[in-house]
Amino acid sequence: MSVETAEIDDAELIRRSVGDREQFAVLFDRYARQIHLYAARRIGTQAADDIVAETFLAAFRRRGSYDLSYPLARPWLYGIATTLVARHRRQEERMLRALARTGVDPLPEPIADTVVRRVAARDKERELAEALASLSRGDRDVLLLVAWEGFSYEEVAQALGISPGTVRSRLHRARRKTRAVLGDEEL
Amino acid sequence: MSTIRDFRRDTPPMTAQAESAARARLLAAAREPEPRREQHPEPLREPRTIRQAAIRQATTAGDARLVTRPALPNAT
Repeated sequence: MSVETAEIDDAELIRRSVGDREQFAVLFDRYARQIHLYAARRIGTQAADDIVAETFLAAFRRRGSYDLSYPLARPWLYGIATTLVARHRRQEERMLRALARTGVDPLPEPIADTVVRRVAARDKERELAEALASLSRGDRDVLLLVAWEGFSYEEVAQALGISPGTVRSRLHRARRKTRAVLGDEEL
Repeated sequence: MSTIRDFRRDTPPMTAQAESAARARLLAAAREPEPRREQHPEPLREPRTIRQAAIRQATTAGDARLVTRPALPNAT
């Protein structure tokens, strides 16, 4: 990222990318790694590679409809990524249930890793995996965006195209279902 | 410690190879020519042509309504 673009907010970059299309790559440099980690924690690193590439391609093609009143594009990009992750919903739930059942996380590791780390999960993680698998996709999306990415209710609402009230009710429902594992942990 | 925040926290980061491939796909899309629609927008119609078209449409619609409307009783 050049010094010139380092201090420009995302909305301004998107606006500039209408005329200078390669400016959009600065957004990639800002967010690709964190979106990859988010997707990889849900569906594995190999699927996350595709999710990242497709997220930025879709965002680039839709940049004309971005609401420039939001200076940060992070929620918008996570929203696109979350929609793409949804295509792998069954795979995600299957892997969570396998972890809950066996204590071994089947989340695919990169092929390049010669040592495949398969650490037996603690009991709490197994219970959490089962609880996450039992959530609806919408409730799980909200819970993970808040817990893993530190999104505010408003940011989740922007990302998923729902109201802050819906975010609150989904999070409440997810917390109720995972209470046995999470107890009173703050999210 | 938070159970959910730490869940799968040790997931490996994006490899340099995957990052570079995804970035290259984005740049390739950025370098593709714009869709034809954007390069050659449809020329604007003359205001008079638009007005004529609107009048023609309104007249046709009015005809259709007159044909389908039942006859009204005579005023007393």
